Amino acid sequence: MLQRIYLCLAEQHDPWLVALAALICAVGTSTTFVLLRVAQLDQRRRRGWAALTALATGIGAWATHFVAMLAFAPGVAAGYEVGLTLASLALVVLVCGIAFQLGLQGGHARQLLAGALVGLGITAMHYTGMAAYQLAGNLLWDRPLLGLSVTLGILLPMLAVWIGLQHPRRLARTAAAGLLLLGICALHFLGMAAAIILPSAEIAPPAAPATPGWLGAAIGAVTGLLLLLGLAASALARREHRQERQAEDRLRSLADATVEGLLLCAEDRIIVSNRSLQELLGREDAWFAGQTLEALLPPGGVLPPGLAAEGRAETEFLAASGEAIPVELVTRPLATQARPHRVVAVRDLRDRRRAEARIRFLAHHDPLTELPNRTGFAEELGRALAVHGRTGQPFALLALDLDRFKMVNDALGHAVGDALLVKVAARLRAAVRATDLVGRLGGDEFALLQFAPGQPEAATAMAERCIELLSRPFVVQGQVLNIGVSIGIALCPADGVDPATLSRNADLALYRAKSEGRGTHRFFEAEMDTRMQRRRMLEVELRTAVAMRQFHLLYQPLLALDSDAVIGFEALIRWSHPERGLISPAEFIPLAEETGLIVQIGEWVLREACREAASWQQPAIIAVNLSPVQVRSPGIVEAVRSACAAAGLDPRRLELEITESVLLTDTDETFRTLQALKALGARISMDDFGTGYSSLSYLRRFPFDKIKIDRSFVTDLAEDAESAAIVGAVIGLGKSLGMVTTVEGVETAGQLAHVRARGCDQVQGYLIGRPMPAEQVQRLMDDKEAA
Amino acid sequence: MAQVSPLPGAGPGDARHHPAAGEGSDPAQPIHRLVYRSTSAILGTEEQVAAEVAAIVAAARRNNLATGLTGVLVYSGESFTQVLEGPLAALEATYDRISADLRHRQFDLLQFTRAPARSFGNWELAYLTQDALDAFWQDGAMPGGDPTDAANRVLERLTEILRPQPAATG
Ligand SMILES: Cc1cc2nc3c(=O)[nH]c(=O)nc-3n(C[C@H](O)[C@H](O)[C@H](O)COP(=O)(O)O)c2cc1C
Repeated sequence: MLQRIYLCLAEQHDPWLVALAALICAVGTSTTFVLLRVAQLDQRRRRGWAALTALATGIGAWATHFVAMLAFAPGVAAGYEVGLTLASLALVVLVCGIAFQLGLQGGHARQLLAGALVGLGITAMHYTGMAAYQLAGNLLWDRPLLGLSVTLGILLPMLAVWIGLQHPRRLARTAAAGLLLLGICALHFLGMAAAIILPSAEIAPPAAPATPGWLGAAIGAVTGLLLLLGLAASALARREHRQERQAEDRLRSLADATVEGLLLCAEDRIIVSNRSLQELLGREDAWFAGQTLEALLPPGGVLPPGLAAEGRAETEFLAASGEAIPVELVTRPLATQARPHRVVAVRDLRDRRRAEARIRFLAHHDPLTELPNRTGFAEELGRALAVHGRTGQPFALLALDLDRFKMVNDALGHAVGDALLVKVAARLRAAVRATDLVGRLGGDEFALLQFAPGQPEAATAMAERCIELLSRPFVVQGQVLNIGVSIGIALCPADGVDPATLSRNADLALYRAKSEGRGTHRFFEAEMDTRMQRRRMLEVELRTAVAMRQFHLLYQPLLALDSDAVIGFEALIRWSHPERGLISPAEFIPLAEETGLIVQIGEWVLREACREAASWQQPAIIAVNLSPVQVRSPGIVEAVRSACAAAGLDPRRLELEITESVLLTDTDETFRTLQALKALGARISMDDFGTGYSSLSYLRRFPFDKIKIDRSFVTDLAEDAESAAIVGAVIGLGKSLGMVTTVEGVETAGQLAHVRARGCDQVQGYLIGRPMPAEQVQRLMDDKEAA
Repeated sequence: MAQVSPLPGAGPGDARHHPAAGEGSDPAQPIHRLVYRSTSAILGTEEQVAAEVAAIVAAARRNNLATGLTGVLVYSGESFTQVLEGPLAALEATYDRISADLRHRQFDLLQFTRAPARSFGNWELAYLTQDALDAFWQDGAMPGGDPTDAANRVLERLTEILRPQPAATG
């Protein structure tokens, strides 16, 4: 077979004309693909361009055929039938026209089908042309060669057209043109090799053979037309190319000026990127070209499904530095392009993510100390309880309250207070393990979660560590500050398995720690709960008592020993509860002091006592007790003044009794207050002397008018020589300091005789008179008048 | 006379010629000083304790050199006594760390005040141990009573011990 082909080409063809045929074919096929590209781009005039392409293809193939036929020397006389020859040209142009219309609609199947049609058209043209070939002889066919000729004549154009439509680049276009050229040549020359011509005398030479002159003119015209078409097409292509370039340049400078990253993709391949994206990912433009979008993801990443031809999705891109950058992708299709193109806008989400993280952080953290705030801590507590629910892991909740922080804050200002809190937070962080959690619930309240087995020992150790660390002096802006901490501990699950119970129990324990001396820790005990509830109820009742005026005063007489006459009364408060009857002051006064209600209650006592005393016939002394809280309250001097003024009572009849504990916090402020009260004319007594911290230096620092010796010394006056000695000494001391001495709790005549012998000035006690209601005092006073 | 005991590999000789030495005389840079005493809370074998103390001294010297602090640390095997001096900000920041350190306890701050000048300008942290201490405690520098007096006694004794004496140290 090869031999046949060789013989056919080498011996039966004129090489110069063969070369000319190949040249014509090359011009034709490259024109085909240039025009095809133009047809692809110019959508509006696609049909016209497709027709022109078909014309170029058909003419090219047809001209190739006939020049090659001219090069053929069959060795017998030959001619062409004109009608059929022209029909073959019409056929190929028509078929190609249909084919290109089809192929330009896109899609692999259509493109391949179009290619096959082109091949078919050319093949049909060739064999129609052969039918128009008239010989003085018989034409027989070598079947295998004929089959090969037809097969290649269809397959190669099919491939060529498909490539040409798929790949717009020039290189691909050249390859496609080459393939088409190869297809046409294979078809023709294999077809010629398959033809076996047997000269026969019987067959007459063609009647009207086309002369070579006619043929030459036709071919010259056609080739000229083809060349013109080719030139026009390539000029068009160049212009189109230039325009494309310019448009691309404009687009590119626009794209580069955009802050957002941009990618242009053809189907799923990246064509170009803009500068912002190159900077974002730290890569050159060249790196992007030809990559898929997937290649930008971190290893193992998949593109979000929401990102089809048009859509919006968030994902991460991997920068050259290895950083995974969160990005938002917005895709839009580009309508102007023949093949599906899309633009992908890439927005850097790092700033937004940081802002979101900061907002989340601030919602759950205290900005000052950066510790979890109440919300954040509650969340952690909830998490700890959930873990406990699943695994049974126990944990401890520690409620912390700084001691003396408010004093520092008030005295030195918020700036110092804040700086101190930051340092407290740092020390607490040092006190806990990495698995534990520190939170700041607000103000000077902190809390800890400790995840450790071996409770309560672990919590004890932790509490002691915190107390130790926070009791060390702090230095803020060069000032040494001493604070401390009280801690209440509740254990999960022993003291609760829900956040409310656990927190409340830790708070109860904290309350206990604070009321039992501060700087210490307490575990929650069930009994705290009931006591706390009682206390809370009492507090509510006490508030109503103030509003409902459930208080009244009793008056206990005071006897002067020199005259043996009642010279005054001490006002004593009583609370008659509508259901529970009389409630002892010992029960409600401490609570009233803690809650601050004492200020209101004390003011009422002052006014009531003054009003009552003012109505007496005698100018007797009226003694009123002042609680330490009252003395420290800012309005106390004014309260005393206005109580006297309102009642019309001479302040010199008023005796204010204070206990030593008022002087414990012996600030200058306290002494100034006492001084001011004294300046009003009232007298100041030291009550319950001998029970507290009895420092004689108090007596030196403030000129009390009276010392009231506590009843406890009187009770065992007879048996206990020591008590007797103390009472005697205090009486002597009072005398030497010019203070009146009063002994309280005198119940027997023996006691009275004893203190009288010691030189005591006044006595109080059941022997003299029990506390009595106001009416009785009135009567007593009237009697005295009468006497 | 008391001896300055060098740590293995980190003798006080290394701590000499401190760049901040001149700072004490710089009137533009006011100097603060702190003195405290504490009890060691380091647990372990003798070697472990020694290693931990060596680590403390090494870290302290590194930090103090960087922040321009000078001072002295006395370790008796049971208690620490430290004097640190330098600019307020650096001193306060370092104090924040030391006072949050759980490797000692019973922390007793004897003094934190402005000082007219550095007393240990040559040392980012001189380190004294038992040998030096016998003399130190015997001479009545044992803190106790009024903190200010105690601080002053400590200072007096330590400056005396650390007074440059060419023969005493290597
Ligand atoms: C007794 C004692 C003395 C210390 N003295 C210093 C010191 O002078 N300077 C210092 O920076 N750290 C000192 N520290 C160490 C600090 O507490 C803290 O551990 C250290 O500054 C952390 O530094 P680092 O982060 O560089 O390791 C001392 C620790 C202890 C227990």
